[in-house]
Amino acid sequence: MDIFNNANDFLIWTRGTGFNIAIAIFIFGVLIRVLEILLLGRKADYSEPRGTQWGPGLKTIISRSLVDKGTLNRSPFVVVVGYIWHIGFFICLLLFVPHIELINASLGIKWPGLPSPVLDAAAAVTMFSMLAILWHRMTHPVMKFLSTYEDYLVWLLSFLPLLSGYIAYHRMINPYPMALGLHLLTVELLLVVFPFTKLMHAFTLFLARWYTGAMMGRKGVES
Amino acid sequence: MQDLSDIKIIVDDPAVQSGNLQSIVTEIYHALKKLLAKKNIHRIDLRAMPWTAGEEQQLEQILGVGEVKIEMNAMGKSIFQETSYSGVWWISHYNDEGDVISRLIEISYLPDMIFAQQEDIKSALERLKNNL
Amino acid sequence: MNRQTLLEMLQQQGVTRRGFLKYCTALTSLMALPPSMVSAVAEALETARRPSVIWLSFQECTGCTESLTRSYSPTIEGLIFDHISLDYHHTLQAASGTAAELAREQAMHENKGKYLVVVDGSIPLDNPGFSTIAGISNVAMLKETVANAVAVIAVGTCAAYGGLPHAAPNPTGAVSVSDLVPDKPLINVPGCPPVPSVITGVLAHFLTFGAIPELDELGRPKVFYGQSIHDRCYRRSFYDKGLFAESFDDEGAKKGWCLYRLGCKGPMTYNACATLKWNQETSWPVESGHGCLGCSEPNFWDAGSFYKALSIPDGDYARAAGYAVAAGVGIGAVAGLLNKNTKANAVAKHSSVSVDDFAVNKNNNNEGA
Repeated sequence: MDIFNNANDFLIWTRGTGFNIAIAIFIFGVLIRVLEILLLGRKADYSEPRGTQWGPGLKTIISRSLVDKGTLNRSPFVVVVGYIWHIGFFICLLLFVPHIELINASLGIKWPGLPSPVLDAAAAVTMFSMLAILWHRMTHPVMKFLSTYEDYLVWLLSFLPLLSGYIAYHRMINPYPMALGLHLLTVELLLVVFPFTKLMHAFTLFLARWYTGAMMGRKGVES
Repeated sequence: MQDLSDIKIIVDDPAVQSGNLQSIVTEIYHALKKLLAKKNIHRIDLRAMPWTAGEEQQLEQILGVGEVKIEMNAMGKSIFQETSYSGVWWISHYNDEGDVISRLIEISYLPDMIFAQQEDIKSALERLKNNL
Repeated sequence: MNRQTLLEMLQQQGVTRRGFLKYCTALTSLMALPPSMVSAVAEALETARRPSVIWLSFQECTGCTESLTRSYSPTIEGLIFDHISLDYHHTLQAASGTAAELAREQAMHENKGKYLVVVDGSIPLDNPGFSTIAGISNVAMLKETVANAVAVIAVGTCAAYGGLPHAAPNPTGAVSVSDLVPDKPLINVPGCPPVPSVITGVLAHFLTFGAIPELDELGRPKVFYGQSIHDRCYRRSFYDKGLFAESFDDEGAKKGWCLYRLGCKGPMTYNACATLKWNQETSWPVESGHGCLGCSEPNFWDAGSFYKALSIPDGDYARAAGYAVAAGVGIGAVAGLLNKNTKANAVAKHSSVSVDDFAVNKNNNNEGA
C-alpha cells in the first residue's frame, strides 16, 4: 500500500477522511432517493375515507415483516436463512460495544451491548447463513437466472464488513491497525454503494409497507 | 520509606484478576509432573507476567513456604525459598543496592545455581594451593 | 579498554561464576527471553565485548534519556560501566563544547565500523538551522556519525517515526531516522518515552548477541513489541465480558473495568507496558486507571483524541454529514420536481383510447393490406 506509509496511516485515513467521504455520499444518496419518491406525490383522493391511515400503515410495516406462511411453505430455506442473517447482521451491528460507542458519539443515543463471545457466535452464524444464501442463489436455476451482477456485488459488500470485523476482532491480520482499517474500509464501501443499489430497501420497505397499509386503511380494508 | 517496594499493596477488590494466577499454577503442576517423570527442570520468569496489583503476592501465598531457604551472596543477595510444594522454588535475585533484579519460579530438585561451579572450584584450588 | 570481554571485566571485579549466572539470569529476563535461554546468554557473554555507543539527541524533550536513567536493572551506571562504553551523550557526559565533539570523533575513529549509534529525537529538514549541536545541523551530524556505525537504534517515537515534531502541521519538516538512514541495520524503540528496561533490554541484546533482534514491520524488536497492550492487558477479561468504565470516576472505573470507551488505544498499540510496567514495575497507565495513548505507534499524535473510543471516526464527520444533508435535500428536491414534471408530461401525452379507436385501426390495417 504505497499511498500510506504504514498501517497506522491507513487507519487514520479510514477513521478520518475515508469515513467523512463515505458518510457524506451515503446521506446524500439516501436523501435523493427518498425525496424523489416522496416528492412525486399522489393525486388527491376525493373519495370519503372509510378508515384511518396511520394505524393500519404502521401495523402493516410490522405485519409484512413477519413470516408469511404461504411463502414459508413454498421456499422455507430462503425465508428461514433470510431471517437468520438479517437478525444476525443487526445483532452484530447494533449490540457490539464499539459500534454502540460510534452510534452514541454521532447520534447521542446508547443502549447496553452484548458480551463479545455472544457477538462472536452471532457473526459466525450470520456469515455462514450468508454463504448458504449465496450458494442457493448460484445453484437454484430460477434464482440464478434472475440474478444480476448487482445482486452479487451487494452480497459481497454486505459480507465483507462481517468478515473483516470478525478478522479484526480475532486479530487474524497483523498489525491490528491494518485489520481495523480494513474493517472500516469495507464498511465505507458498503455505505458508498448503499443508496445506489437494492440495499435502499432498508429505507424504502418502510415507505412501501406503510403506504400499502395506509391506502388499504383509508379504504377500510384489511391489509 | 526506602523504596517503592516498601509501599504495601492492599487488594481491596479480588474480582480484578488477570487470570494469570490459575494458568501459572497449571504450568507449575505440569512442570512438577515432568520433573518427577523425566527430571526436566523448568523455570518461569515472573517478570514477564501481566499481573494485577497484588496478584504476585497472592501466588506467593498460594505456594506457601517450605522447609528449605538458601541465601546466596553473589553480586548482591539471592534467596532460594522452597515453597510448600516440594520441588518448587521461589527465587529472588537482588543487586548490590537491594533492588529485585529478577524473580523466578524454578521446578527442580535443587536450583542449579546452588551447586558449586566448575570455574569457581578451579579458582578455589588455585587459592588453596597458595596456602599450602 | 573497550576491548575487554564482559566476563573478563566481571572476573576482574571478583565476580564468581554464580554471580555471573545470576547476572545472566537478570539479563535474560531483561531481554524478555525465556529463562531457558540463560545458558545461551551466558555463552554469548563470555566472548561479548562492550560496544562503543554514541548517543545523538536531536529534536527531543530529553524524556527518553530521563526514562533511561530510571532503568534500575541494570542501572544507568551499571549500563555505562559494564555493558557499553557510552562515549558521547551530550546530556549525560561531563565534557562539553569542543571536548565533547572531540570525544564523538574519537569514538567514531577508534571504533570505525563497530560502534553503535543511538538517536533520540527527530531531524528537521525544512531548515537545518532549526536544530544544531556545536553548530552542526542534526541531519549532517546524523549522516556523518552513522556512516561507519555497525547499527543504529532509534530510541523514542520521535527518532523512530517523527513523533511530536512530525505531527501536523510539522513546522520543522521533521523526519525519522529511518527516513535518512535506509542502508544500516536499524532498530526502532518507540514510546513516548520507551519503557526504561526496553531501552536497556535492546542495548543488552545487541551487546550479548552482537546482532539486532528480530523486528516487526515497523522495525520494532518483537520480544518487546510483539504483542498489543490489549492482548496482554489484565483488564482484557472485562472487555470480553462487555464491562466498561464510562467515566473516570464511575462504578466501573472503581472496579477496574475495561477503558475502551474512555478512549484506550490498547487494541492498536504494540508495547511492553502491560508486562514490564513502569517505575520499578510498580504500575502502568492502564493499571493507574487511564487508557493507553498508543505512544509507540507512528503518528499517534495525529490519530485523534486520546479520549475517543477507537471505533469512533475521528474526522469532522458531523460537518461532512451536514453538507450531505443540505446537498441531498437540494438535489433530491430538484430530482423530485423533475420526476413530477416527467410524470405530468407523460400524463399529458396520454390520449384517450376508446373501443372505436381499435375498430378504426383494424379497418385501416385491413385496407392497407
